[in-house]
Amino acid sequence: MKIKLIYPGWPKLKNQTEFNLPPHGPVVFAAALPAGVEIEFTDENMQSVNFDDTADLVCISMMLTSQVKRGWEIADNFRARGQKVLFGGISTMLHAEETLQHANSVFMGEAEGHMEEVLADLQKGRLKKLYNFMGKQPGTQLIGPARRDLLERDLYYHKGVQMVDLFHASRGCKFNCYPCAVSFLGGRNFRARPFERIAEELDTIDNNRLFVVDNTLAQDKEWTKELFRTMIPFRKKWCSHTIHDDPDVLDLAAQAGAWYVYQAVFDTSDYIKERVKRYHDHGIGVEGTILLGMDNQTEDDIKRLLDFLGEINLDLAEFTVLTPFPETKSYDDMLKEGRIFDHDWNHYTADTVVFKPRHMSPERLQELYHYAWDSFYATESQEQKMFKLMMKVVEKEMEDGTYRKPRKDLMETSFGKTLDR
Amino acid sequence: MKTDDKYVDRHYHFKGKWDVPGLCGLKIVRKAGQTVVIATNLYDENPGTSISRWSAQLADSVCRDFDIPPGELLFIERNPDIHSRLAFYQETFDIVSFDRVDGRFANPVWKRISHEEVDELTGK
Ligand code: B12
Ligand code: SF4
Repeated sequence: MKIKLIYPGWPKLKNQTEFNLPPHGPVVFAAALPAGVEIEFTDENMQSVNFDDTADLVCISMMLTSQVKRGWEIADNFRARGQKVLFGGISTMLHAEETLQHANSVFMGEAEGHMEEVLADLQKGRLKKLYNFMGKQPGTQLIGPARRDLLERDLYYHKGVQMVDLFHASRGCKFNCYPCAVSFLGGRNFRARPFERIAEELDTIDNNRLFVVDNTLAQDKEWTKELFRTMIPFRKKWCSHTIHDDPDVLDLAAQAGAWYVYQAVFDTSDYIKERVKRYHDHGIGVEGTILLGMDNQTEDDIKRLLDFLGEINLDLAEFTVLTPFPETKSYDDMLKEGRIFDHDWNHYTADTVVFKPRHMSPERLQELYHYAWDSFYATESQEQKMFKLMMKVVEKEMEDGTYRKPRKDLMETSFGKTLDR
Repeated sequence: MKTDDKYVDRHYHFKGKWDVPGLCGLKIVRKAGQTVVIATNLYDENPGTSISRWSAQLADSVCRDFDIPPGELLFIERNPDIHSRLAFYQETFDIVSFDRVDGRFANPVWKRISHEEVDELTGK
């Protein structure tokens, strides 16, 4: 059986230096397919989709809201050619009702343990319109090493430097933050993968730099410590979301190769200042993620927040505007209050204002958003700051002998395209 | 999260979006010609769909389970204060009105009201 697996492209943040990471959802999904299935993968962020190709099933994996319209377009095109299309992934779950209109079948939930059933139905000519496994999460021991062999590896390089590989050690999140859909997607229970399976997967990754995409590494202190102990022998360097603010945990994180973390900066408190400092004290860099346009932010608050960023020595900062993504409390509240004025999912990129902010006009928030990027990177550009952060990891790698030189044959290319010099 | 019991007489289990089990707080006040139902979002205690996303279906099942004539329902959604520093977790009440489509509630519209108004409606 042949499956054509597609990851639709999406518009990148306009103010951010372009980067493309190897997709994770699709290759983890592929690991859940029965052995013997032939899979051909296209990441549309990097490759074009060949619509003339035929397969027993076209599978479309969608992660972001800003991917769904393109995903539907791809599906419509294949279906017009008589191909069968199955959708799955995060934004399939967030936009399931609409996706059903473009699909032969929609899969809701995590794929592990269910794909045999779906493919058996397909072979019998009885593919169901909806496979609903929401709230019925599979055992995490079933999560197999991701099929990174399906990726066109050479595309994920910039000037010879390989991008990080994505990896996850747990699913679910016990928190339920205002702008986030994760509790709807993966349930409120933190679900850890068995350590031996984590080690098995780490062993298969031919990359010394990772992005640990777990929702947060601040859910279960003892587990997090054990995770870091498991990671130490692999000598990977990695970035991740927030880590427990505990000296023992941070110490182990550093030993396990923590390079930098994404830390939400939501106010100008000493708590945030000290948190950033504690990461730095452990040799861990910090990329601040700053969400603009929350109901408690006035223009002055945003300006104060931007001044504050200058005081806390962030290594990098990423600004986004509050976006009411479906299945979040933010969406519910905005909808109730009639504040969403733009329902075009292509604009839900997190750099475009689609709602009426509480304390300013949408236009003013949009201006402040651009001002935030400009002011943070006024004295030192994004490239310069990224270079510095890069040097931190190179130093660590030099120390423990894991440094890999940039690939000479890819020095003149960036994400598969030849550089104009 | 501990929610204030003033507006919650019982917990109510419902089948939420995509059949995921959900839980909310309920207070039902029956008056002549009108039944006021206050449904409280339980946030962390609710394993499933938020009641804001499921108002119409929730109103249907509450009417069915508690023998409330749909025409007499006044449905109030309450989002309790969870004592967070974030303003959007302060207590709010909304009257939710619906259209009737094929004998079911549909197309919810929310109108913010104060807790004094709620107390008046529930006869406190
Ligand atoms: C990695 C990641 C990224 C990477 C993606 C890299 C890449 N090349 O794909 C990067 C850093 C680029 C990114 C960017 C953004 N992200 Co992001 N990201 C994630 C993250 C942390 C992990 C996704 C993941 O890999 N999960 C693990 C995999 C294994 O799970 P999965 O995809 O669900 O796959 C399983 C099933 O769904 C199923 N499945 C998957 N595909 C298919 C296909 C079929 C056919 C079937 C049957 C099943 C199936 O099988 C898998 C195994 O069970 C998620 C949060 C999370 N933890 O999920 C947020 C998340 C997806 N991101 C989010 C957001 C908000 C963003 C941004 C918009 C803003 C930001 N800065 O965070 C930006 C994009 C801005 C822009 N316009 O460019 C939101 C989604 C919002 C939305 N509705 O669009 C999420 C959910 C985080 C959140 N807290 O809400 N992100
Ligand atoms: S923002 Fe992060 S910590 Fe909060 S609910 Fe979402 S995944 Fe969990």
